[in-house]
Amino acid sequence: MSSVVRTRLMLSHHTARPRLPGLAAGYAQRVRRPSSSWLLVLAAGLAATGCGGLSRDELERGIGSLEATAVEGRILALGAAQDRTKATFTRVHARDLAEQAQHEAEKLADASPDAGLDGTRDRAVALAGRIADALSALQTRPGAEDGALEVRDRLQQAADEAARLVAAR
Amino acid sequence: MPEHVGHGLDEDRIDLAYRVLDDQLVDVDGRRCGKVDDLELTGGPGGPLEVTAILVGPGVRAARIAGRPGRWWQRRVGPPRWGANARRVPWEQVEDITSRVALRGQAEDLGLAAGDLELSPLVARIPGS
Amino acid sequence: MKALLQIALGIIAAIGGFLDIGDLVFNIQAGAIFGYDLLWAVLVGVLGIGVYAEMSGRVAAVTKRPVFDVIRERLGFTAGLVTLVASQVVNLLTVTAEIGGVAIVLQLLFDAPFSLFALLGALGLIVVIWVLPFGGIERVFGYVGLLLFVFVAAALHHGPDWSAVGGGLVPEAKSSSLYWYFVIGVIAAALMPYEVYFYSSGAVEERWGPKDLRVNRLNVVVGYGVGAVLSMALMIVAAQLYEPTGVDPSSLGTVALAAQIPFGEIGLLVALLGMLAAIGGAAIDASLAGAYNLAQFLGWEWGKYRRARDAPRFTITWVCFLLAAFALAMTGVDPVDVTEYSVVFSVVALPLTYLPVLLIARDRTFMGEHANGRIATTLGWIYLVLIVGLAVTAIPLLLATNAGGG
Repeated sequence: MSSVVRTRLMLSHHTARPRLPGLAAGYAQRVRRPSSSWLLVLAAGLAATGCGGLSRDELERGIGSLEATAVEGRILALGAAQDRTKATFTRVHARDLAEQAQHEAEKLADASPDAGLDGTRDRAVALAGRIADALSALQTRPGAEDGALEVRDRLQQAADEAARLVAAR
Repeated sequence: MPEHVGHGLDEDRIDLAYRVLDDQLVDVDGRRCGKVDDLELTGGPGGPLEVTAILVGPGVRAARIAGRPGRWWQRRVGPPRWGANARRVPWEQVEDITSRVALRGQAEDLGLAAGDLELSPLVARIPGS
Repeated sequence: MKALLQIALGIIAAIGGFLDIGDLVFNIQAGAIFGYDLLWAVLVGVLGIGVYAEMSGRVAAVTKRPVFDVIRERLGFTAGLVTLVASQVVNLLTVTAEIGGVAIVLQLLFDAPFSLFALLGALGLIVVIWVLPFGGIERVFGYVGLLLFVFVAAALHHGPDWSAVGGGLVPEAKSSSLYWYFVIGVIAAALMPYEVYFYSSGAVEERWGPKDLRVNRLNVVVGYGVGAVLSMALMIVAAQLYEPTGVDPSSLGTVALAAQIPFGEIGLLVALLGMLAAIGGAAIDASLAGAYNLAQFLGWEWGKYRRARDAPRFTITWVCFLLAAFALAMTGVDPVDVTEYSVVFSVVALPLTYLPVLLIARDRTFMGEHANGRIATTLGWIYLVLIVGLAVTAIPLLLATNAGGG
């Protein structure tokens, strides 16, 4: 007399779970609680990444990022001025960089700076605007060599000013 | 083991879990037609236990997922419905076991690779296929 | 002679196909921020992918079983399923990043809306995979990808500070979490698992047998070795041009700019074309990898060497990957951001896919005389420990450094 056994062959490296209902329920409970506190930690962490406030470090990072954008724009403009590049590339990349500067400007403008940083923050936002303007000029006329030279100079000045803003206490 | 089965089974022992379970199934035409999702053992308590079939299909696989996700998936897929979401390939159909399990018949006759067989004419309509 | 030529051509194609958007982004950024200091991480990453690819290629040649076939076998069904889901999520993120990258490079060449190029890119890649045979795809994208040697030329043109290069090749520990984020990023960008899924499936596609084991080793040693030179060139160029001036590369345009500066318009075009081939090729590899994984896990018929109608579910899967990636790219996410997440998440999932390959590669029941020798065993275990370490620290570092934003 044979009966058919359809088996779930559990491979040897599967750990056997106790099949007693009480134990299984207890296991599930233990697993559930830590996962909700994990979410809380994550949420707290996200909140702590400062949506709203602007510390000196964050302001300096923002200005540093503006300086980097200005420097890259200057390199781009130099290539255009020397007619050593493709106009399409200059236009598209200048547009990207201008958006970066705009985005940084908005971030800085929206945040509320810590005490004593208001002035620096306002100058940084104005600087970001000038950088974006210079890059837009490059975007509009990427093939014009003298225009590009002027953009390069403007961006060089902007980069220098950004460096001064960070250095100034 | 029955004598007429292929030479790969001439070895004295074959580790079912290691060498058969989860292995690729290949039909007589060389078509891949699923994996060994489970094995059917026939026998009674205290008596000899024999491998009688290979079991294939989503209904069979669902039972192998451990824990709560497994039970959830089983509710979605449903219990094994033989001929629908589960197929039974009698062990006599096994020709050889090497790095894959070779079957004697064609996938279509065995009810395997149904998805591919259904979709093939649709895909064939696209040029270059 | 003809066989040797075939082998050489295969290796050359592998070199050209070595880089993808993750390597471009992470190596240039690492060079711009840390100069030469992370060159050692490139070597660690390339050695890692070499070890992993050699083992999976050897397993595929001897057992005719590629990675995801092996994973279900060695990890069991549930763990294998978890691995499958994790790998597919990462594959999808990767294809999304690469499609986005293709669209950006096309924009830099032809200035039209991103969405248009994302669509053209996705459709174009679907057509290419459909029409060309497996070997043809690899050769076309691999050869054009060799144009990225323009970055090696650029690095030499400026005359790198060789003593600093040497210093950078020596591993160093720093206390900055940003440094460690980039260590992980540079290593992980080289160790992307989709390359291994693709490589091992390719070994079965090309019907490798034990006689191809030498080719396997050559592919890995020469192909990936020279590929490492490309990665390092990117970092060196960024160290020369961007680190001193404080440029922060956050777009692909900045990568191409590094070739424009020394070589003008020609350098720019060569770089953009090379990037297009490398990124496009990677999109193909990753979407095929997604289809390989699913088909191999479930036992479907698969392979580019089959007609589409003979492997319909496999075919539909890779088409869906490209279309889904296009849809995700259209949500407006920055492809560079997606790249960073895909690289970090891929290293988190990496231990799950690496361990089964290591276990099978050393198992004499499956491999016979071709099981891991002394070198493979030593390196195999060392990298397992390393990979687990990377996987555990990747996400905390991602959060701590705000994805490299500092």
